[in-house]
Amino acid sequence: MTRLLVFGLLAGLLASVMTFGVARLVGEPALDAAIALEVADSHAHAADTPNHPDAVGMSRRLQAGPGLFVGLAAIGAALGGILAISFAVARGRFLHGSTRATVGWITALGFAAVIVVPMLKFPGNPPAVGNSETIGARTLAYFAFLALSLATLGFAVSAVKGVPSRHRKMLIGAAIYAGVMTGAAIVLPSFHEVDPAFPGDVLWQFRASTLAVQATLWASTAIVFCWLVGRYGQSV
Amino acid sequence: MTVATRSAVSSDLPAIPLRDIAPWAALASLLAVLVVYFVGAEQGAWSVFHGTDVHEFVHDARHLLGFPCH
Ligand SMILES: [Zn+2]
Repeated sequence: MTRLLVFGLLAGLLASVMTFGVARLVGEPALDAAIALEVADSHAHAADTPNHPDAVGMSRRLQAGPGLFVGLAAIGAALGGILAISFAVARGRFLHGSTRATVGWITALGFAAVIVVPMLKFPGNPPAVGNSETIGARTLAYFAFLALSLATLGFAVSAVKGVPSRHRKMLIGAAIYAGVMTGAAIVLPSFHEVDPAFPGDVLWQFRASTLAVQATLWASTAIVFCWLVGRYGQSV
Repeated sequence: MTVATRSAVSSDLPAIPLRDIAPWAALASLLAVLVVYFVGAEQGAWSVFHGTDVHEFVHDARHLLGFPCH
């Protein structure tokens, strides 16, 4: 068990190095473009716009270098640790295939429930987008939706454990998950805070880059973890 | 069971007993929640520490991972 955890942490840390590269290449340009707009905007309305914390405070070099790296590495290590635990629980209980298939299923389902579905309801916003008065409500709604998504995934997986047909298993599980999450998405509030004047291509580039960053982190964590278990951990 | 006789198929292996996993699962979940909180939300909607230093430091990671930032 401890060996699996070490593999998970190592995989997550290594993955965060690759993710840092992707974040710098595709994410930072969109972030900088949005911050440039934000600064220009706050100059234009200097009288009525209070200083936004993003435009002041820490240097951009610190934020885009060590800050970005530490943030990604911490999340990567957490992801790797949780992957190792999920692998230990699922192997031989919920999943009976090869290491690669087991890790593949966990990663695919986790990525859908933790990243893709919350992103569809609450897509990330670049600096300069978002009303600071609703940050409390938005953060609460986002984490509530995320927690519900994970809980529903867990419930759906346990519910179909005894179903004999593999095909039917996936269908029933997907129906449970989609039903609950669609209901939650309708009930929870939506936040429409993008200024119509904000350039759509910057917004799109930013949101696509958040997906690219998460996809890189998850995929490379899974690949490295698989490799470590296959290479050094056949008996764990 | 030894490494040498292992096949690459994980279904050959006995499942790790849940009571061996449980303490690690609790520890990992706790740490993961803390990490997600500090990278994803500290000094945004809620604050454990005063000021904006944590928010500012992880700012780019928070945005690019898709968390609500401000
Ligand atoms: Zn921000």
